Amino acid sequence: MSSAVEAIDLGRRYRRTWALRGCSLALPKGRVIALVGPNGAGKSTLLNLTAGLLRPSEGGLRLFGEPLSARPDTLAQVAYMAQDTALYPTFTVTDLLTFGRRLNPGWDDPWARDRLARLRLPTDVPAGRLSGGQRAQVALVLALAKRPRLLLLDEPLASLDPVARHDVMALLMETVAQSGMTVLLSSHIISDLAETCDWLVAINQGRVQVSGDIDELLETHKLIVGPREALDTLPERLPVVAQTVNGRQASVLARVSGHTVGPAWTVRDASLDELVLNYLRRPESSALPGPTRQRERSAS
Amino acid sequence: MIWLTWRQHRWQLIGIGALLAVYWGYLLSAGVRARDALSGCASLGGDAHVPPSCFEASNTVDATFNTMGEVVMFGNLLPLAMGMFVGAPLISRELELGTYRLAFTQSVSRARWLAVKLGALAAAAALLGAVTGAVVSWSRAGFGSMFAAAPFGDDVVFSQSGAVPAATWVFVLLVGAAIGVLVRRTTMAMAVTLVVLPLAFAGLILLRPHYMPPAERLVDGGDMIQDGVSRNDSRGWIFSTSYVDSSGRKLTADAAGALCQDPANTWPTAECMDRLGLRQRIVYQPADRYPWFQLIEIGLLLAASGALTVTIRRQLTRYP
Repeated sequence: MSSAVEAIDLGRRYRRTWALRGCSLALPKGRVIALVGPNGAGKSTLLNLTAGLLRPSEGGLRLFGEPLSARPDTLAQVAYMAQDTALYPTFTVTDLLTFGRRLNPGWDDPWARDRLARLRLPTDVPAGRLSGGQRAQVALVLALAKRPRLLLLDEPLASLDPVARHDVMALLMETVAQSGMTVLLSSHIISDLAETCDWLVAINQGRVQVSGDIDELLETHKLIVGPREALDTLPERLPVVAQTVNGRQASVLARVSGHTVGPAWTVRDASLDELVLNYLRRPESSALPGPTRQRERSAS
Repeated sequence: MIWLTWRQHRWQLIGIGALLAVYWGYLLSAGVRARDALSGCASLGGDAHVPPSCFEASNTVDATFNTMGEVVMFGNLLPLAMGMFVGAPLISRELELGTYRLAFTQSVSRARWLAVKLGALAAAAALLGAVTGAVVSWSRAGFGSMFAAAPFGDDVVFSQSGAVPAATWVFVLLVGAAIGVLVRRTTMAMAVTLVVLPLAFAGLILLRPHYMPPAERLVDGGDMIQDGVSRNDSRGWIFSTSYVDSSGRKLTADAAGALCQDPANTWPTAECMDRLGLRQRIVYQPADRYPWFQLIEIGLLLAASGALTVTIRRQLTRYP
């Protein structure tokens, strides 16, 4: 079974600096995938490459088993929306719907009209005069009405107020649940992602650090907390992701599988937040790509 | 896609159309006025009884023709509007606003997006240019050959005669679009277009005499051309005249005039030429080459447009 997105040694260079390098990924179909990483990590670059808006400097990309191309049927499979994606400022919402209908053979016009009617967006106002939240809603409806197999969202929630953020997420999740499309969603607000996403990709300094099922990641990673002096007593072969020392207390994020730690330590579950933060603090740690492959094989 | 092209560029196209409508309207009214004024005099044979109204008509036609000449000269700048307001923003505005990310993630490839946009707009531009050419030619024809000499050799009129303006209008669109895709900023692209296009037009005017090597002809006094009278004559586009004496020696106009020893003229007259056996050497482009010059200019403009299209396409599909 082919993946929704498969990247092989993907890299993109801007003049001398690599925004993304050596990125190899296999993202399963039908998942809502969270793409996290600090600013400048290469999230937007990866999404732009996947959308075909950028050309790789090296390596390649396959979508649903097919190499990425400029063919209309490939383009029809992918929808892209970024928070800062401008809509044509003089186009009214009606014009934008006509735009979507005329440029996409798979366009679902009744659905788009119904959505916009429910959102109570004024249809005769130029997009330039809509609020940021309204524009994000319209952009998302445009992306979804295309009926893509893969939806790419680049920081769709950034700079939205909490109400608009909630509305956009609700619209997204409702549609995704109905259609089974694959969603790749980047954000730096991890708590937004915890409820909605079931796969995590963390990229840092242009490289992929973590790619895996969120439940599995949380199951295998534990936070081990204890006194700082006892750090030496941890088993030597314990796969430590990162450790932080806070005053007299040390906390260690490790992949625990049958390891036993001394009585000085307490082992507890890590939150997604803690897991991501610990990985991003230690760019040399990685959780790749074992679980991805296994899971995929067992699913096929 | 055609809908999108119209939706995005309709106001610019309407504006340019309105500007051209004013221009065409003026030219047509001038042409009609000239025809009206001259129709009363045309039937009168000879110079026996020329009514005073005919002199008046002649003055009117003369004044109208001069004004029209100035307007037609400025008419050569009208294509700049197409280059600046349609061509330059065509891609630069998409890049500047970031809307290219919306446009290029629909189910239409960039190559097709570009082909439809350039194709539809170039067709509109060609139509506007063709109508301009037809209107200019029709209006000038109304003045008769006494006023309106052939466009061949006339820098102002040549570019607005026949099918040349259709090619010019397509060319300006592509120059603007190519500058837009290279400069990537709308205002800057418009400014660069405003500078580049007049330079391109000037270059074309400088290049035009060299489309074909000129012909030479030796004529007797009866067929001589009055020196310095006109660049365009019924014989064609006159580049230069000089004189040859009976022994085959070349003479300038002044030297030939000195030989004549005619106190009334510094240049030779027909009578003097026949008396001394001088002949005039005319370097010119014969009038029957006019269609070829039109074709060569159209070919140059369309070849440049084609090259610009390839450049734009390559830049655009190379990904921003």
